[in-house]
Amino acid sequence: MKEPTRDLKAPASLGTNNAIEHWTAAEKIRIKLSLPLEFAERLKRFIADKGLFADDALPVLIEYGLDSQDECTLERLRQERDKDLPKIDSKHAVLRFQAYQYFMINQAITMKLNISLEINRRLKALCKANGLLDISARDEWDGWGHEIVDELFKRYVFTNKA
Amino acid sequence: MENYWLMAYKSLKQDLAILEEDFKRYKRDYTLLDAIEKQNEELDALLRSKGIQVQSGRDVR
Repeated sequence: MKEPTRDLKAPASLGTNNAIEHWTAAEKIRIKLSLPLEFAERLKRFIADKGLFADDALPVLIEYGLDSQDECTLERLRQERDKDLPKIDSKHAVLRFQAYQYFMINQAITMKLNISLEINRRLKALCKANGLLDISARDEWDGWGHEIVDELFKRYVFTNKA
Repeated sequence: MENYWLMAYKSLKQDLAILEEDFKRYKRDYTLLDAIEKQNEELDALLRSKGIQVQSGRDVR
């Protein structure tokens, strides 16, 4: 079984790896567990039966084990889930789709960003030279250097988030 | 098992919070990236309307 590598304080993401990606090195710890072979096999079967990945399921199971000691917390959470789950579930689905749409558009624009910025600067210079644009007029992207462009490329192009 | 799905619900809420942050960032970036594209089109049209030769965006380079 793959060894767990998660922060015990933070619940894992199920179905997506969003939570994992957002934990910085300072926010997670790596633990190495020694388990009886028989228990490890049961655990492996349980995770496979639920169709989950060990990396996702193990931190949740550990947290569940800790939280199950506090029945009041569980009851509050149960009531909240019964009331809010449909709303949160649909909000999650809609937001995920909208974020995906923005992501894909931003990816396409970012891929030609260097050219667009160069064109923008030349067009502005031409407009200013012909008195069509206020010389002092500045936009936020006028000061964008390689750092910001590289950051956008890392966010939208050199990533497997989509 | 019931409690396991309660933990899964907690994870869903955490995912949603992360997703909301991502969504805000993507939307903010889109506003700026799209504004650059639109401004290029507007400036190009402005120069053309004044009879200043701009054959295409790339030609300006």
